[in-house]
Amino acid sequence: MTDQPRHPAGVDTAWEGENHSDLAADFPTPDHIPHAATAHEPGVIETKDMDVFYGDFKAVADVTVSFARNEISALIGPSGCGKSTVLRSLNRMNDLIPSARVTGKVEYHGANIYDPGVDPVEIRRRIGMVFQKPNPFPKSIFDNVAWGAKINGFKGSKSDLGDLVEESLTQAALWDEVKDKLKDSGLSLSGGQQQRLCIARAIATQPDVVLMDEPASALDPIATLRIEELMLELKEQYSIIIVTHNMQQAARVSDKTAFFNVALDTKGQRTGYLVEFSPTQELFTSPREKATEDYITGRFG
Amino acid sequence: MTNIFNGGPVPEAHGERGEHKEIRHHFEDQLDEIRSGLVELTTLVLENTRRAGQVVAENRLDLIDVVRNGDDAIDDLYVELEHQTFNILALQQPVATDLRFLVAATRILYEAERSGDLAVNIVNRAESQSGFPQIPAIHSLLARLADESAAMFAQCVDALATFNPEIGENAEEFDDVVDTVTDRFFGTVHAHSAEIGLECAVEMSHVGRFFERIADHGVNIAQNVTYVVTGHFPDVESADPPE
Repeated sequence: MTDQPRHPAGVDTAWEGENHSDLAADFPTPDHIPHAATAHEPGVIETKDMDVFYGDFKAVADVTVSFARNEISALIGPSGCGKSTVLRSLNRMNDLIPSARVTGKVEYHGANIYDPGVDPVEIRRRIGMVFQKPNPFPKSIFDNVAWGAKINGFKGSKSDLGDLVEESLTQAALWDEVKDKLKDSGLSLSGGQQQRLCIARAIATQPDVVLMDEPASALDPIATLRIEELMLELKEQYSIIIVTHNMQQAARVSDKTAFFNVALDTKGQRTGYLVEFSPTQELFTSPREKATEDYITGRFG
Repeated sequence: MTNIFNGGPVPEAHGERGEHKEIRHHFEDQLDEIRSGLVELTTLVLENTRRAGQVVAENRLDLIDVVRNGDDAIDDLYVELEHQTFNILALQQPVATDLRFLVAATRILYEAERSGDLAVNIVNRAESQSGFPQIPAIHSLLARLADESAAMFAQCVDALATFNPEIGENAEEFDDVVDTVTDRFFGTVHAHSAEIGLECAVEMSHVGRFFERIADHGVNIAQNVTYVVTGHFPDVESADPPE
């Protein structure tokens, strides 16, 4: 969340303006999505033939995948396989890199988030992100959580804002530890607490999907387990997509796992591709693809 | 011999620099130790099953103590292998084929150890009767049953040594032969029960059942091998957890 919103007073003006395609105007909100889980329920985010380029370099090729609602999906694979690139493409975080370009489709509730007229800031409000290194603002714990709501045009009273902060911190399993020191700096917390603060900040804007890029890799094992436990709580309300180098973490928390690998082309360029996206229990017991088996059993590195 | 841990085609591209590089040699060695241990354990059980067959079919009462001592070695190896398997499960977080192999190993250990006990039960029953009476009709069937049972168990040793999934796929058919011979044996013992005495008939029936059970354990072991290789049991019904 390092970028500044273009409409600090709220994104609704941009969102509801007249110069939008039908797709953008009809952009569904999560409340309009029926919750009933059916076998053919479309994913909350679906990519179709997605390529991601940095300049001329194709970082990721031909990713077609559907992330289900209220599930945790894990992206695993060796360094350079493009899993973080894929994650950042799902809420247009890659827009912040000038040379980055996405082709194909990334559909959020059926609408392509890369269509003209779609506001990336609104996308990122609905599809929040938590980063590898906890990055609270150098502000109070309260303000860290209230920030997102304020810049998104929170219109409630002061006490409403207080309620939102408490609710978000409670959901992030941090409230009991910080309720008596909400005015302390967010940076005064431990690493694990800072990461939960960042999760509280991400969910305070009431997103639909939370993307997590290695959210526990800078934390000790106990703090890691707290974050994992938190993810399992949060998936009741949110859809979570996580990138992790820790295969046991993917195995412990995720419902489905995507394995990405790297292919070298004739010019020696390394392009990531999706090998297999399977229910986690299947992927770690009987993977469909030999390449997945070799990676998760550590036979090739 | 196929090595399930290293076999198969190397994938096109993988890894940090796309190089083909095997890692975790120490872990591979640990798995290989368990695998060769399982072959050794089942071979010991097979030898004891054959000896038990000689005890009842050839009246080789001199082999009774050999069978009992052999079972002590089986139990020792069982304990050691179970310990190793449990440690790897606890410490290495195995997945995929490795996980299936180690879970199957715990089942195979149980099946083999039980088979070893059954061979001891057989020689105990023979000893209690000071050897079985030599009625040709009964005897030829008992010898046949002992042979078929040992042959089935030999197949599971072969399955473990080669990791051939087809042996487990076809094990039920082989086991049907054992079951048929067992039924004929029961019928024949029953028909001669007045002649050999009720107690002896009961003991011989037990012996028949024990041989038949050893063959069943052999089937389960071979099917577990199929599970390791393919990820599926060939026959879910007969692969129920042991009672």
